[in-house]
Amino acid sequence: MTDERRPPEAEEGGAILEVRALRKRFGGVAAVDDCSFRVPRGSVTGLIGPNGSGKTTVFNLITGMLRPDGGEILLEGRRIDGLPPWERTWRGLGRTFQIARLFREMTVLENVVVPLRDFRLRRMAESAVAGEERRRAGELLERVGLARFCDELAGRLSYGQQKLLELAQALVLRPRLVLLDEPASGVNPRMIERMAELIREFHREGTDFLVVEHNMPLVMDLCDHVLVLAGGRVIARGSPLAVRSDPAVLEAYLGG
Amino acid sequence: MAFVQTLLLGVLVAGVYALMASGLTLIFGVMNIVNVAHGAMLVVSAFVTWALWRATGLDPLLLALATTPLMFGFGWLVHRLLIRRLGGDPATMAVLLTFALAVAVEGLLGLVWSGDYRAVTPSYVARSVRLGPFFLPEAQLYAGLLAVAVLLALHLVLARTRVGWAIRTATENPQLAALVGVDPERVRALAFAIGAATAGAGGSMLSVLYPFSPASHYLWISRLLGIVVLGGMGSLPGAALGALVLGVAETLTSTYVSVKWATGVFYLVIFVVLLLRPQGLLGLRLRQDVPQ
Repeated sequence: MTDERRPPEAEEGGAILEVRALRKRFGGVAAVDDCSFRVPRGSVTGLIGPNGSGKTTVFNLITGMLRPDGGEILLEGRRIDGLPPWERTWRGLGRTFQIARLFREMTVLENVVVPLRDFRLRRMAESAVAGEERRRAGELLERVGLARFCDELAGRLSYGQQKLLELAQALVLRPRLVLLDEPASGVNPRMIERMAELIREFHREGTDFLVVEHNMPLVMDLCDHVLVLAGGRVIARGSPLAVRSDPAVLEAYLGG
Repeated sequence: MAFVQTLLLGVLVAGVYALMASGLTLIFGVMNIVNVAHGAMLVVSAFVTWALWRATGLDPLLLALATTPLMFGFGWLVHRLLIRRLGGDPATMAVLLTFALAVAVEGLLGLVWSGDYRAVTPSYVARSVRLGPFFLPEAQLYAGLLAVAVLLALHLVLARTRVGWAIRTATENPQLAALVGVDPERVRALAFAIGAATAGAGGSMLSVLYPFSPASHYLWISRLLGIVVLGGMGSLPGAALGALVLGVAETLTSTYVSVKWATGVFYLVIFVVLLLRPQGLLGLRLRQDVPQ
């Protein structure tokens, strides 16, 4: 079911994700304010902006951890804003966190194994770590370089390893789009290079990425499209080069 | 020798206690709900075992094969009709709701089978079996072994199967579980049903080992809560350890001190352990509202 890729719909202009007039207030503060953008299909899109500009809130709204006060979210042209988080995951959405969130008391392998969707008795009783899913999980762990830690508890991995494991976990259902929240934060330069290489590899295999990142050289290197968020709305969009020289962006970062 | 024999007996008692407590701690771990009706579920299963045994003459411990799926269905219904309706913040209301359920079940059992004490007495209930130098009561031996077998099966389900994986993710981090594709509502329904199913098996064993009446659930829920709190709320190995400590303490007391003190020592041990280790033996969290 995860492999039936829908053909690009012309009327959506080839957007994998579209956000329309999204709004979210916390008390009196508008964290996300009439925010609209598209993530082009087949892209690695950067979502940048000064601290407090609403990037993580946007991620939480897209994944369903927060309910929007208004607006629409479309994944491959279909509304997902009314769906619970797990349904969005099964529709092809994945995410990672700034500080890796894992099942720390489960093993590395168990963290990556496909979750249960089908509650028929036969499926429920199946081994969680066997068959096709075991192969897929094993292959992913191999590729992120954690294969030899399969039976280790996830909580015992180093910080960088946990970020890699989280990436594998987000990719196991072969999502169409993965949201990465600061994949390079707090990890050493070699790990950043490794992370970028992995993102490029998985992108070539058909997963698009929306990346929140403060490391500008990485954004410039990795992304082919950049959205700039300030005050809860998108103030600039375009190629990394174009965005870098946009006066509105400089204003937002320096005047902020 | 007599001491070792007493210890062995304590371990067998502990096996049955552990099975009875496993469902309670599982439901708490996944749902953050203290199922006060767990004792009532045990007693329902004991009565059903008694009725089936009288009607068919089948072995009451084997009747666990019938009461386990029956109570699974009962648990699923209770979740669907009652627990699910609590919605947002079930932790506080759930105690009240499940207590009401326990009282209602007690009343219904009394209506159907009267408030009298019952006991299931298969032919081996008064016999002992000789194992090397030890004499062990047959009923305790069979029930204890069966309880351990059911617990191992439960452990395998949780450790190896997809449903077990889903239950463990929802126990450890419900928010993250939802993000990786686990529907927490379905998992909660299943966990509640599985918890009730263990009460099904446990109830069949109870019917052979102890006399019971519709009101017996008060005794059992306090005993099981003691075990679960001692072991650490929500921890399955903790429930097993709590059962072992209390089962052995109880048996030693009734052998070497007095049967009258057995129940008292049970609760005394809980007081002492919790003074030293408020989170229970294997519990991780001191308070629910503070992340570990």
